[in-house]
Amino acid sequence: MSVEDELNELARAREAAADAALSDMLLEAPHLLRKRLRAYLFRQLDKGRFPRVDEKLPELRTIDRSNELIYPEIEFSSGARLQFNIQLEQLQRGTLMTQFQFHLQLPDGRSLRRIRIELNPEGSRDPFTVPRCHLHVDNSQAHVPFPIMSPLLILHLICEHIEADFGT
Amino acid sequence: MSDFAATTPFQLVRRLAAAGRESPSLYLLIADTAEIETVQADVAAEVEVQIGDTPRCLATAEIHTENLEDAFRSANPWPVVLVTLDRWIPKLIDSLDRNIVLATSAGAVFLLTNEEIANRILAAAPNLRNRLTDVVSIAPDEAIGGAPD
Repeated sequence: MSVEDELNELARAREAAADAALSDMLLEAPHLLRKRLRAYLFRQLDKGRFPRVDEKLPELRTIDRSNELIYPEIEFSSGARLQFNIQLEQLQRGTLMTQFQFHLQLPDGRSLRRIRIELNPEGSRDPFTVPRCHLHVDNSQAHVPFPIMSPLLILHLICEHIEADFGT
Repeated sequence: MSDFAATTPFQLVRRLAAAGRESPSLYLLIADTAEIETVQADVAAEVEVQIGDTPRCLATAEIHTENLEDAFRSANPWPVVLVTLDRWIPKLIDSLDRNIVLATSAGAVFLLTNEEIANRILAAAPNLRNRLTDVVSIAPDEAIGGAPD
């Protein structure tokens, strides 16, 4: 087996493990997840992380079994701005996350301007180059593999670590 | 619509969480009759999400005047009890009024009802009225322009 074949096989195995983790990660009902994300953002508001939080957000849009949680933009006290969008599918056995984008615009003065964490709706034909769940730093086209985790945990990671630290 | 300050289940529970567990509280929640079930589910969900406890939800029929203490007793050291009063039962209100200290001795009690019953409670239960932390008009999130739940 060539080194290239071996690397592709390793990448496919990593993608299979990520897909299995995603499939096993059943979330609570979308309206409850919305409440949980909102409560988390208000806890961060109390800590001074945000100057304001809109009680009506995230917005929940539901069409049949598909649900979308949308937060168009929230501004951090530092001036950073976060947009996120999470797509969920309600199945008999629970709620599955099928796609998301967390886009963080860092404030002026940082050496990095943007961090994007994304879960694509499907895996790619080239999982080595484009893992389904990945992170982009700045305008880089590099897709850095990112672990499958609850959207609440991603939000926490962004609020407590990425926004506070990246590019400082 | 009543003249009382308007709130949402989210705001109500946030206020309760901010007040802390040390202070017992008693709220009279006034909702449109058609929205009482939605408000009840919303308040229960917010208690779970914001406080991390499962509230004890009681309907009028589940509270017996002769053992009121049992209705409010909980293994939880700081229970949240949500009582939905869907009809006027003078005996129950009278019993609640006489035993309101017992009912609210530890934890938070929400009495959820419609405006007509709320006004009758306020007129007929002076002890309960005096111990109220607040009387609020409550509507589901979407009723004030929020996202659909």
